Amino acid sequence: MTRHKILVVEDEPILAFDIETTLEDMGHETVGPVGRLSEAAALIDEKQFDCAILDVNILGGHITSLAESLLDRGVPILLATGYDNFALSERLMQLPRLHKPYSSEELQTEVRRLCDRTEARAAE
Amino acid sequence: MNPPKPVSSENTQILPTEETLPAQMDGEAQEDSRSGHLIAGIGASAGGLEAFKAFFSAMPPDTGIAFVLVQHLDPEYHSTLAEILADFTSMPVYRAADGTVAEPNTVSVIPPNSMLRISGGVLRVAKLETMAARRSTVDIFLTSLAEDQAENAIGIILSGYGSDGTAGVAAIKERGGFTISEAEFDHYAKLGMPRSAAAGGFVDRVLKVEEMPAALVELARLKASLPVAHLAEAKPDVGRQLNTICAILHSRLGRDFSEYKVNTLVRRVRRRMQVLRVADVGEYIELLRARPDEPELLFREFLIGVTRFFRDPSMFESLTATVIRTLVADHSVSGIPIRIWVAGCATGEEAYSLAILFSEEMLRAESRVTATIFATDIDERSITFARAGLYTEAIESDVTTERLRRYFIRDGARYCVSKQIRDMCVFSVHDLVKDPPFSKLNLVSCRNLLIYFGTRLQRRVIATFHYALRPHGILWFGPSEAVVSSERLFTVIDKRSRLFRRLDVAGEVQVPALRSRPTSSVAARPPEVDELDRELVRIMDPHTPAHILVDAHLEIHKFSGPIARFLEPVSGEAKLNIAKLLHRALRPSAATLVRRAIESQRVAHDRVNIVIAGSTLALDLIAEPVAVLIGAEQYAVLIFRERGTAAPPPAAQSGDANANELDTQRELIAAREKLQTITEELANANEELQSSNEEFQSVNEELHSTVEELETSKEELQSINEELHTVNAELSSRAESLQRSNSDLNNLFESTSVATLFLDSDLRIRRFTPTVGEIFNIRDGDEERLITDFACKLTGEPIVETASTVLRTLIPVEREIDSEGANQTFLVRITPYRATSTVIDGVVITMVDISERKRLERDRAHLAAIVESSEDAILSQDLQGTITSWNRGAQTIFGYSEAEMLGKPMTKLLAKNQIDDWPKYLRLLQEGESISDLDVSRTTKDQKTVHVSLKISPIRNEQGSIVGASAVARNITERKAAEERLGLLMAELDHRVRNILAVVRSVVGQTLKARDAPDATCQDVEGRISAIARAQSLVTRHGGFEGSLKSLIETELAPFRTESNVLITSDLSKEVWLCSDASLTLGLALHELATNAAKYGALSAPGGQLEVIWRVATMEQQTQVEIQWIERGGPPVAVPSRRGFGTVLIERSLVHRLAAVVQRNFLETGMHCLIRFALAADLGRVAPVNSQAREIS
Repeated sequence: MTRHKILVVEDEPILAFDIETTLEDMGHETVGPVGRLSEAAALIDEKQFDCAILDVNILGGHITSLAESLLDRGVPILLATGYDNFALSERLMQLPRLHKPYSSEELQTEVRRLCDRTEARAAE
Repeated sequence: MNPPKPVSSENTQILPTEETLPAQMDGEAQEDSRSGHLIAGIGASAGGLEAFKAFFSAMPPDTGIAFVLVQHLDPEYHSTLAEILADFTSMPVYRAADGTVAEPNTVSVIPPNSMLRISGGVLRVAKLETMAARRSTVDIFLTSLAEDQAENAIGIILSGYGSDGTAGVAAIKERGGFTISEAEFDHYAKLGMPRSAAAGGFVDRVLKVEEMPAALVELARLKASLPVAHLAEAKPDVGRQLNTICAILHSRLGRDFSEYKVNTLVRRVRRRMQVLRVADVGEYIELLRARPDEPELLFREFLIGVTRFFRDPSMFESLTATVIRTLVADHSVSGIPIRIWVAGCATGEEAYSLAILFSEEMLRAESRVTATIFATDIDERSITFARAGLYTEAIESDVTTERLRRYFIRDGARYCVSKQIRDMCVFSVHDLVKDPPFSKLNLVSCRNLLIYFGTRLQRRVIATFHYALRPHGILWFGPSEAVVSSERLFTVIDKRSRLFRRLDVAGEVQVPALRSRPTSSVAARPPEVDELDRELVRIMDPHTPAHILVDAHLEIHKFSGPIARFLEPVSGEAKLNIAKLLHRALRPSAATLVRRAIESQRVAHDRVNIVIAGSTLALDLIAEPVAVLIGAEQYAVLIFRERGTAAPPPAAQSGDANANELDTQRELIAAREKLQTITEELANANEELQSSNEEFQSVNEELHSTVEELETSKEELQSINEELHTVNAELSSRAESLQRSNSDLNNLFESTSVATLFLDSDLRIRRFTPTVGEIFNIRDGDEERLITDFACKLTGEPIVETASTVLRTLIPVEREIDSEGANQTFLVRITPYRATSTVIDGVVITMVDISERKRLERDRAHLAAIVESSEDAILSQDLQGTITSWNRGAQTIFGYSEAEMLGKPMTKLLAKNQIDDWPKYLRLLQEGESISDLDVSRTTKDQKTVHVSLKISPIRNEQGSIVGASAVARNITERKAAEERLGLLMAELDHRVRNILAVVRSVVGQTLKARDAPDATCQDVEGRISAIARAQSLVTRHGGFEGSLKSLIETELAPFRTESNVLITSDLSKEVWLCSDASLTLGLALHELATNAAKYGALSAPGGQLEVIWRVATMEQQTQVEIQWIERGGPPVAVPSRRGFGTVLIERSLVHRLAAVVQRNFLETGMHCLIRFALAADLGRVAPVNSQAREIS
């Protein structure tokens, strides 16, 4: 299994920690995690990563524009959100989503799928 | 009497001589201007078009008649009459223009807004100037047609209202033309014009329109066989037979026309012949004898005459100035009534004209003298007409507006002479030729009558007038008449106006005239003496013996020869009677001889000795009857032939005379002398008798006229009697209606709830309705008592004082007054009582109990205030959706004022997408259904968006039918905003809860991981937290208060579902909504069941299946929810060895929270679980599927 660099944007520290440990348990490298929109924006330009797990509503605002710029670059994204369809743009609605609260099993399943998509993209 | 008065304008040219008159009257002088063919003027008004069509449809195109149509036309309207008629006749139809020639076999139509005349056969068109002229275009044309064409004129009156044309046909008939009017029973006819024309008596034939052409064809044929040129020859023919005709008329009708002018009579007889289509006079005379009504018709024909008010106005002015003024002034002093005789008054216009003039003069002179106008005519019909005093509107042109207003009463389309004028006139039938005259007259008016009489008759009539007038009385003639050959009796006052004054000379009362009986020799003329005869007479005169011409009454008509010696006039009134004028000795035997001669028609003679100038003269008196009859009179000539001087007395002759003989001689002489004396005495007695006779005669005459007057008076009395009858009948009907009114009034008084009190001007009670007793302490029998004596229940200003004020000021007063205790309110109205004579005779007080109305008014005001102060918009609309009221709330919400919205459609308040549905809503309203919760988003006047919730309910009237709708609109903008906020809030809450649960799960998960807890434990914890989160999420999604059972089951089972391992069966028609607690509890329980199934049960092995069946049922009056959990196909099941936390969640929490019955059976095939609970109100509700919960988007 390939080790991936995964960007984690989550403003809830405990959840961020949970995701980080889960990713490490699964043998992936976490980029971040960051919980603030500005930090996230800065991180995108500074760091290398293969895919991203994004909380929709983070400190400092909405990740919509950030997510869309990542999509433009072709970065696979997994959205984690406590909202239903609420406040998502058309494009983001198409993305795979983790509904909070998710079980670690659900998290692992979705991360696995995310990594599959990443590899599929790399293969292209 | 018999007034064949000729038509107006002509008579100024007529001289009363035989030579000029007939030529003018016959129109022969205008022979050149005649077109020679018949010209028919056809007049019509309303209904004319139909009549014209019918007429021309039946009219052959080659009759040689020229047709001129005069139709009353709308001046503004472009008439297509000519074009229309062209389709009905093959004759050319023209619209007449000035100069159009009325040619044979053509039809000319009057152009609009113009009047048509004809002159020399050429049509003249002029513009209409007055409204009056517009109504008489037919008269104008027909009159000119009569003047222009005389006997070639045909006047036809067709359908139309009014009386236009009547004067026109009269003119045509007067000039010898032919006239037709439409029949009464003709279906085309509007009868005004034809009936008026026929009633005038100037219409020859009354026919249906379809029959007229045949009559015209016949007429044209007759004309052709009797050309105008031959008429002159035909005339003597008629003239010769005129005596016979007159004799027949006289014997049949007792009317003597023998002394009328021949030409006039001939002309009229010819006209009758024309009408009867008879060419031969002999044939006509046969008809006259054979037909019972023909003499009467001919008589009418003779009498045709028209007259008008104030005919020849200048003559009337002159009469007023010279005669009437003086008469009124003189008689005002003496007080003697003025007596006037209008001889030949025809239909009375002249008599009434005179009456008006006298009346005006008396008013001007402030005189109280009375004037009586005896108006006579030979024609009874005319007199009847005159007595009625009803004239058509045509008189408007002759009588000034001022006079019309003062002396006439408008009666529909007619004018009735006012009573004042009518009472001055006495009308009676009278024949000037044979009836005794009136007497002691101040004025005799006899106009345009003598022109119809022969010279002798004229003279006799003038003598009659001389007799009838007082000394210096006035005789007034028509413009073409004079007292020719009677200058001795009258002198001229004003020649131009034909006014003559009676001279106070012995009259020429021609007594015989009174008794004359016409004979067949009517046409005989007094022997005319020609030049030669006159010369012979002159030469012979000295040689012939003296003689005189006398009539049977001994009146001397002619002296001749040396007669003077034989005359010895008797002193007293000068008389030309031989009994008064002859020598005394001659009188007896002369009288005897003349009588004998006339009676025996043989010569009679006698010898008489008379003593003249001392000598005795022997005379042969010879009386010889004149063989010729002069008029009706027989004459004799009395000749005085002298035989020389008589023999000397016999005594001187015989010397030896026999004494005896002498004695005898003496005796004889004495006897003769005695005889002479006796004869003289006899003659004197005779004379006296004669004069008595004359006196009697004049008394008789007076008597006659008195009788006439009495007859007239009798008729007047009869008509008064009739009037009285009418008045009486009217009075009794009025009495009846009064009685009815009275009983109506009584009933009204008894039944009315309006208390009404009548007070007289002293405030005494006159009358009151029973309800007054509730206010004043009045009872029956209190009439005539003062109202101030009674107590009044009303407070405030005392009614009685107010009533006094009203009596003084006459201004009605209206007050609302409370009763004592204020539990009743009365509307008190006090008005002056006006008697019918508009005299104020007290007051009327009405008191209406308006307590109920007051209460309603208060209620209404209350409700209105509520509506007005409501913040909701409250408005009403009618059934068409038009806004009829608009309160302040509506203005606040929508921004439009009441004025802006009243009358506007309701759709103005609706959102665009609702306008399409509006007709449906309107229909619902009309069917009586309300429309609720119609949420409308609307832009207000100031461009703000409001959300309103509209509820519209029908308004019914008292009968229950729907008359409109009321709409209440509530501003829900804020509610909408709150809902949106709530939605946001809920979403945020959901998000937070999920976040918290996520954190909790992480904390618990990390904690367990740190303690190296088994994975299974971690999964249990995570699963349970997820179940909570899912249940929570479901609830939140539906507003935060309830969640769907179906969704709950599906959501909790979703994580375990693979292809077909889970089967969910539900009640499709119902949806169960659970409150959030119940939802959470049930969610956790289902999660435990599912987890267990996945760990140990049906879902743990491939091929295993889970079926969840849930349904809702009503049991024991409770809604029961039942969920069956059936597992099959899994590994064998064992009853769990211990009750873990899962079991607690499944069994305890359900029992505890939902009071559910939970049965778990661990069957070998799989686990069965039944969960049943009653859906109590605090747990949730059942709703039909699709009835959405209040979902927040």
